[in-house]
Amino acid sequence: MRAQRERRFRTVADEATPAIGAYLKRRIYPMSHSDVDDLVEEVLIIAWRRLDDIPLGAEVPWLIGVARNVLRNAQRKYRRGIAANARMVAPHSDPSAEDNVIADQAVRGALEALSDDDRDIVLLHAWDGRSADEIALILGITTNAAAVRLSRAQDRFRKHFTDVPVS
Amino acid sequence: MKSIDERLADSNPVTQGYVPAAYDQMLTRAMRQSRSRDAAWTTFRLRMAGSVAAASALTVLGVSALNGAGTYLPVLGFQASAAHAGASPTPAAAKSGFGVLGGVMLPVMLNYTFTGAGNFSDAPGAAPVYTMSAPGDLAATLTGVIKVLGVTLDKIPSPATNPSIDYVVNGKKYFASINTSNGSDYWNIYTMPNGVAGVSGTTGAVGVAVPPVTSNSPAASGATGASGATGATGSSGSTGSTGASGATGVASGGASSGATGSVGATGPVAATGSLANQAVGYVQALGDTAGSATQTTSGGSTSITVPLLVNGSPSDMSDTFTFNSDGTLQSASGNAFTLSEGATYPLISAAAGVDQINAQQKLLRSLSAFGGPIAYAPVTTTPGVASPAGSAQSLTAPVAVKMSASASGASGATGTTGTTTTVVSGATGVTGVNGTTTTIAPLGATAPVTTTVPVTSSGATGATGPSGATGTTGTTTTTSPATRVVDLTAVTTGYGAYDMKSGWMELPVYHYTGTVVDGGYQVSFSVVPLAAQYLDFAPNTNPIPLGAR
Repeated sequence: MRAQRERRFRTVADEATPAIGAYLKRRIYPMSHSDVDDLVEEVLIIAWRRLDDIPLGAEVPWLIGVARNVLRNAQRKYRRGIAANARMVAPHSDPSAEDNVIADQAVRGALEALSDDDRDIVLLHAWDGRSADEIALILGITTNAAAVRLSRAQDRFRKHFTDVPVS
Repeated sequence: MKSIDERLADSNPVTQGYVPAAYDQMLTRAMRQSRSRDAAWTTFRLRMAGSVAAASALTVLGVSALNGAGTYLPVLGFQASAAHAGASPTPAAAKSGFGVLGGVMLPVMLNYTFTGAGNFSDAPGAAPVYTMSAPGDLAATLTGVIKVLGVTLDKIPSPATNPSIDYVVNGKKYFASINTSNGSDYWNIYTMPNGVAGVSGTTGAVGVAVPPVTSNSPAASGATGASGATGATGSSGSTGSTGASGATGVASGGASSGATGSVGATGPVAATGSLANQAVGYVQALGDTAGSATQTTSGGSTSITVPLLVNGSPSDMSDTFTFNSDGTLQSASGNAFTLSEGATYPLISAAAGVDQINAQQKLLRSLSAFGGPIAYAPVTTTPGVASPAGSAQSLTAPVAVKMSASASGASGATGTTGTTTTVVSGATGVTGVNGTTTTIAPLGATAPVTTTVPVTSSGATGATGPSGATGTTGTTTTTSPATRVVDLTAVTTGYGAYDMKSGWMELPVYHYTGTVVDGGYQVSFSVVPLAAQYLDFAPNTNPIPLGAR
């Protein structure tokens, strides 16, 4: 039984880890890129503990949902730490600004103008390549709701997009 | 020119999958974490069993009569788990729209119908229940296990609570642990990633002096004993695993190629040969009954899993032994427990069990609708004021089953707002018209004097109009999610461990498997098929909801 469990865990981990890692790395700022591995490991520990809960065929979006919560917790902790230590330590030097800059000003501006929820759903689709079905699983909402929210968020993104042509 | 969507995609800061540097070690560390028993699944299984209590009394009595079980069997009560009692859902989880049904997460807002009862026997049965206890002395248990496995314990933990110890066997360092969980002691040993240096040999003893010769010649001194041989050098540590290959680079202007996936382990097959015999022998020597072993092969190592039988049927426990390619033991894990057979209880038929899955699914969904004992996401978004829906009440169990009785029905959806009637204010009075001008010719005057009569003041404000009629209360609308069919095609019998008021027990279980017809994926469900009057669900617990943590 344990061997079967380990085998499934490895299969799930092999499939999901690249997507989880990429998801976390895209959003790790202002934490350090060196924190990504720790967060990935935390997600995998949860995956191991909750292996029986992971839906067959939807392992990656389910674990991205876990990663989303793990990241939020970590960033809350990080901000609390920064606030507590603000007067005591030098500012964090990592990551470099270049790592987190979106070069396309129009894209950056439009993303900044979105609400957190809208930005989340737009980027899950555009960057993480998640379908409405998968976004529904990640966010814990119905597929219909996810499709509607994605469509509306994309509309708002386009409205905020101030066109600066890029050839 | 690129489209907005293309520019958004191009701004993706991480275009390649990210694999941590120490991925294998990460997996190993994760798997060393103890896993908590899935509370929601456990509770669902309890509720599955609870729904059996809703079976008709006729069936139950028939079963009892057929089996001659009588009516004096003790009622089995499920124990509330201290770890989960009173647990409340986290906000994140409460938003989840998914629940575990049979170990597979399904959207609870959907309406499932389970078919396939005709595939199964409608004959009731009977089976004994077992009380299960874990050995009290963890250290002694672990010592006994490693003795059976033929390894030598370097250090024996004296305290009996969750010891984790290192011991040495065959020049390799092993890690061992044991802890009590779910009615049994779960033991685990495995090799450390790297070997350790062997111990040095001891220096030989100093030779004894030769006894004096009985002659006139002077006694010769005894020769000094030879020094002992230097001990053999310990085995070197094993070579670290080869690093993962880098992902394939992005082709210029083209789509990126995906990295090659790792080679998976072989699927489980029936285990035969000396290793299988060795593993089964271990289980038997440990005092358990071995089922049909299966084996998997991965990276040169072979894992043999031996299911542990209870009353000749598969249980939810097994022991696993992994061997290196040279046949040496790499790791092993398993359970230590003692079973005591209790009374034999009547069981409902496998066909009747399908009805209970249907009933339970409806109960789960209705309970989840508006914050019932299972705190999943609501089916509709706003609790209404209408009377509770009847589905939960229809499952109300006999008096002995308090679980169902405590379930509130789902509240109705909010009624639609009544028709708004615009209240018409009284019309403003008409402004008076100017007075008529009258010319008065004074006496004797030569010229007429014109006097203008002041303009009449505005008319009085009209009376306020009558209020609009109150809108009628909207009709209550109950959302009926689309039905999805789960076709159950197979059932097996077995035993499962449950935390009961009297301690852990192994109870009979029907394991069903089937397919979500329009989803194409397989699901499984379990039912504890004991007859209704012998189960008590009073202390049912509030489960930890599912979804992302």
